[in-house]
Amino acid sequence: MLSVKNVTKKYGKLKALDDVSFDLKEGTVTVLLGPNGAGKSTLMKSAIGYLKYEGEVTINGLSTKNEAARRVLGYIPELPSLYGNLTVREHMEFLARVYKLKDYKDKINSLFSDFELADKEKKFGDELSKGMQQKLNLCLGLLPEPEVLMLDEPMIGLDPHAIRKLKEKMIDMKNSGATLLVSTHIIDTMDELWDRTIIMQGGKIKADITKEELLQDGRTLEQLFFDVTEGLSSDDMQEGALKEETEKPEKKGFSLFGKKKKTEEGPVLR
Amino acid sequence: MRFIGYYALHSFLNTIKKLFKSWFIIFMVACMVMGGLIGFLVATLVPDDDEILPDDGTVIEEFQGIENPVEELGDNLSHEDVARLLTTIGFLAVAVLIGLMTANSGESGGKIFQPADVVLLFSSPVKPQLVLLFRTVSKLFTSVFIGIYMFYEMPLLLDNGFPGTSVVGLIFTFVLTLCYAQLFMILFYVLASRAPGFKSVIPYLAFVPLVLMLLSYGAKYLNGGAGYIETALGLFDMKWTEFIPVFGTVPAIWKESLYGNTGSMLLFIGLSLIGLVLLAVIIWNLKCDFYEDAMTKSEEVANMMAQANEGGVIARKKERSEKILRNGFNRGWGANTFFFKDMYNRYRFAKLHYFTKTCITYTVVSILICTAVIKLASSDAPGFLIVALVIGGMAFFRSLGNSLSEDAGKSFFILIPESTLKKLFYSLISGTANTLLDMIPAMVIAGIVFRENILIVLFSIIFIVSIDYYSTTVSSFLDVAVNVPSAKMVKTVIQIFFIYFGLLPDIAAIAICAVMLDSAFAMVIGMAIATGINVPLGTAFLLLIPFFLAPKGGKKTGKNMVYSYGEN
Repeated sequence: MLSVKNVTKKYGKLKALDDVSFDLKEGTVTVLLGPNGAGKSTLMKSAIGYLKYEGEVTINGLSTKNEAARRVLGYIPELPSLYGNLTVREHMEFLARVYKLKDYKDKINSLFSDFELADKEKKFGDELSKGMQQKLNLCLGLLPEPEVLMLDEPMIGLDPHAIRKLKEKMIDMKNSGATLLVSTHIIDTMDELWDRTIIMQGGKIKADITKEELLQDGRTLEQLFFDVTEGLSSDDMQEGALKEETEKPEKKGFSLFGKKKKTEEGPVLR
Repeated sequence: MRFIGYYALHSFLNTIKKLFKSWFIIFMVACMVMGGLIGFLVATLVPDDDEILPDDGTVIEEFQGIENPVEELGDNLSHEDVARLLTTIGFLAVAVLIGLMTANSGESGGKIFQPADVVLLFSSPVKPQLVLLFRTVSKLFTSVFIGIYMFYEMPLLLDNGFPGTSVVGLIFTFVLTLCYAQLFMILFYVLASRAPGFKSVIPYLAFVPLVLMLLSYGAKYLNGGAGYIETALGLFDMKWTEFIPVFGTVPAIWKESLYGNTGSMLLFIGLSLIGLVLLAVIIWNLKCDFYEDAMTKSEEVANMMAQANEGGVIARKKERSEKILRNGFNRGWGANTFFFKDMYNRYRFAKLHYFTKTCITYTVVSILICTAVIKLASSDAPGFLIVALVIGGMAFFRSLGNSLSEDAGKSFFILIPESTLKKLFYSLISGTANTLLDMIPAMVIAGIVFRENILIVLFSIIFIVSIDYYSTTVSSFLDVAVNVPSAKMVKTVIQIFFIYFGLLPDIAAIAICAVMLDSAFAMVIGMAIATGINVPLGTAFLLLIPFFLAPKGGKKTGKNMVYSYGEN
């Protein structure tokens, strides 16, 4: 569905993304993890077409800069940006017109009901609290019902009700065959949702592993994150908990830190 | 395309709704009443034109006082001369306006797009050109709206014997200039996004038409044998100049309208509209690649807005010099600390602890005007008054922003246990003190160069400072009273009206003194009276600010005040 091939993004001499490649399948939720400055947002902004980059990002073979690909591509940014002179409902109606959606009124009402925005629909963008802005931001991203949706820190600023609703929406989308890529720092919120995780650091993919593979490994997503991002040396890995896993790649396709060796079936630690 | 219409309609209606929820309507009514009163007074007190016009068909313009743009031409200006002068001003104004608006096109991503455009439109299945068109249409809509204010020039033009079409010509020229400037800005921006090297050329490219005009003027002056003013007046006499695309066709509307040539005026309106469409078609067909630049700039703008809303400071990209004083200041107590803080910052950051950028600008402008007057004008030209007028004008436009916002916008401002009025006063008076300090070198230099009477120099300075005080309080008052960010332009117009009405008594006082007292000190007395009017008027507006600054139900002081910062 979504294919990222050899994407490199440079700011002067700095490589914000360094030869990043992965494919995401239909009906999956992939969690994009990494410390601040790892390149997660840059990756999403490149994939959505905001940034110029080297490499290729496609949806079903079409570049994401193509109008047809954009029709099925959605993006929910970390920080909501709204028009101060449009009301909550007008924002939705405006976007429905941009996407040329038909019969959108019921969808809007349903989203407003889910995210408790029904009584705020006449408020202007600049009259909303941060949490409400984030809810509207989510509704705007969900309205076109994209087949590929990228969410950048979607839980920030949401109350527990809204987080639960968002998770339900994500599960619904996944079950209906959508592809979701979620960047987050709040790892535990994704526990019951994710199918695969990609951990980035320094603009590179450091780990790419499915939920099943991690379960076999016996670690949690949080443990994996810290193991990967806190820079365990090869020696640590030989001696520590990762020893067995690092030996497995020889059989199952793992590669050691620093070596770029990707296999088709097994998880990859880079 | 329907979304463009949807946005334009709804944002316009919503802005009106928001304005009507603010004090806008009261202020508009006040403006209308004041305008009506002034009109009535002028009609009652000023004799009819017939009583002062000679029968020989020429219009003797009694250009007097500070609003006289052509005084140096002498007392007798033919109608033809005035028309030629206005034509020259029109041609130059179009070139200057387009140049100024397009000079920074390469950096204008944050100006063209709003942060919400990036989030909602850049990722949508819409062509980048359509996103550009969306923003252009919104801005053009504003440009057309601004054009309405040109109707206020109608009485002036009609009184001076120009036909009614001249108002139409003025409006079309103004609106089309803004439209062209907008499209050129977008064209340059798109080109710069594709070829980064082009960005550095734009500031020069933007002023090429103006430079060519000035070169033509120089060449004509050197070869023609006419005086410099006559040369300027005749610069656009030749018909072919009207057919130069944009820079000729647009001001030609104004020129032809002044002479009552309705057919020619319509021809140039048509040509200019065709040019606009052609420019739009060119932009539409260019390959656009501006999303990254626009997104980066919009993010910067969004961060700045967020910082400003929370009273924070925007981090500097460049580090400050190590030489800058960092020892803190030990002056001020309570509310007046705001005043001493500003004074200390001036001392800390200004060159030689005094010369701020504004001060240097005023001084350079003063020197340039002094030089120009000495070289070009006759020996009895009122050089000092020209400098005072220009510096006063510059100080006036600087005061149109809200100088209180830097202090009053801070979250801790309201919590300081002092009277809000006191805090506002000291914050405001520091701005006025800075204006005074900024203009002293410029005015003193002009005073010395033209050997002006010291009392006139002194009272000119005091008078300009009083105008600054009045306009700053009015601006700050309107900023808190009409708090509708999307109607910034409307607010600015009300602001200018208020300041304009407030300055009318000044003009009247100076004019009456000049007429009634036949001495060198007439001006001094007039300015003293005007200052005496400005200060209480400004203070009256200052006294009103706390009522709008304090939230509903809140007290006027920071003590025990409970604030609501919006819903949660």
